[in-house]
Amino acid sequence: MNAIELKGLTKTYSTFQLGPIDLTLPMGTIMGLVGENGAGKSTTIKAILDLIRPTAGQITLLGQKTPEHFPALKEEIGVVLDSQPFPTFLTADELGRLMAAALRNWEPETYSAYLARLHLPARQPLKEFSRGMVMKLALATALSHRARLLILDEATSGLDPMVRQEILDILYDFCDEEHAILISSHIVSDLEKICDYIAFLHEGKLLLADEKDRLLERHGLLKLSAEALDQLPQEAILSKRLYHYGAEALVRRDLIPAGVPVERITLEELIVALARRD
Amino acid sequence: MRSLLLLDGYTVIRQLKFFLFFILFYFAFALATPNAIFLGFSTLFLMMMPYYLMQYTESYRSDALFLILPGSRKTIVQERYLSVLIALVPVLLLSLLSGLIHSWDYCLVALAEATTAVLVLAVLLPLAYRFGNTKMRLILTVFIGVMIGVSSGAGNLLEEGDLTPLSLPLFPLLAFVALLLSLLILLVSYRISLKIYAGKEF
Repeated sequence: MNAIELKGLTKTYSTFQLGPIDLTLPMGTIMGLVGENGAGKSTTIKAILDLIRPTAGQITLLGQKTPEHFPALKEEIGVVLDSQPFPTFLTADELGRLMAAALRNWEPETYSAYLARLHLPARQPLKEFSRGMVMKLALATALSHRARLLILDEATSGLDPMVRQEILDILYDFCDEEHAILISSHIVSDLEKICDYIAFLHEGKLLLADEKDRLLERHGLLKLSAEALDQLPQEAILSKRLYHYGAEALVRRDLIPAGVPVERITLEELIVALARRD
Repeated sequence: MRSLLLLDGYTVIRQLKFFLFFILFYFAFALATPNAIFLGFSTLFLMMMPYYLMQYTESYRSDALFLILPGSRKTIVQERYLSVLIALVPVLLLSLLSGLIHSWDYCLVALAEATTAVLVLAVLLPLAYRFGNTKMRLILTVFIGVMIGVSSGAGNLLEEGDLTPLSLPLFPLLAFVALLLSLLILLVSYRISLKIYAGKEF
């Protein structure tokens, strides 16, 4: 079963259009939704969560169509939003009580265990929490009701590397064949660590969505002179930058003649090069 | 629904405790002394509570929290209107106690004030769903101005008019009918709010 299926998802504003987006997140996998600020990551996530109404398209979550089945589906979805909608006068304990009143599968023991593991005070008002603490708290609430699908919007943004790694470790542990995660971020290095799939949004358009390893295997970085670059098959060159000392190009490995040394590319380099090409 | 009511409870205890203190203070005075002003204040403060709770919910973006939790948009609007009915319970209790302790005239005063408050909320809640906190500050200022104008106009009419035919035997009946009518208008307001909230984006 697929955790998320988007077919022709479109949202039109007066100055921005998202989509149409076709995307599939299989169960048991983690998908990273990457793109620059304003690319449409949060809009996509808000549309999935029925916080905004899509202009067109079909959204299926855990095999059920939304928005008609969404109220019941929410029991199985854990969400971490970019800015947390928690009333800051509450304590983590009180927030847990709110969750217990809303979620049938709420597990107070799991929640307490996460609070302890993430060093979060249970009786301190949330207004005294740092952004990192609030994000960890949001993750603790999302993971304490036996959710099968986690949707996280910029969950690691603005956090220090230690906290980010802590969150990534928890997400990595969470995802087995019964679970799936969709995580958006513009910190590509975070996503490279944990994601199986990468979907790249640029100016509202989905430029690519594929397995991370396949993307990294297919593409490479070529550093050579501008003249040498011109000798190569132009269909192999996805983007290029010319410097006074030579040229740097994002290339498709399978179209580059044997013997030309193609360097391994990082996901961040790939994303930046693709965005530049566009 | 339970979690929404629980959050309202926490909001009252944490954020509106002075408000709660004044309600209890005026409530006690309304029972201790035969004074319609205390009765009016406690009724007014109690009935405005759902509106203030709604403002707190919006300022903390708690709508988004409840929209990602099980339940529908309808539940969120239902809870807000339920809070109006919940606020009405102590008002009716206060009006009954005032009637028993002092005079039934006070009971009628409280009922009339509760009716006015329900009507005011029936207008304010859909507007608040449509325009949000920031624009509501301006709308509320205009609304209060209109209310003052209407009240003073009505006061002048009452002073000039002869109300003898409407004297005592009819007043209690009129007061209850007016309250019931205001609740019907609140029901219409609920349907409008539902429609507005269904199309809202967060």
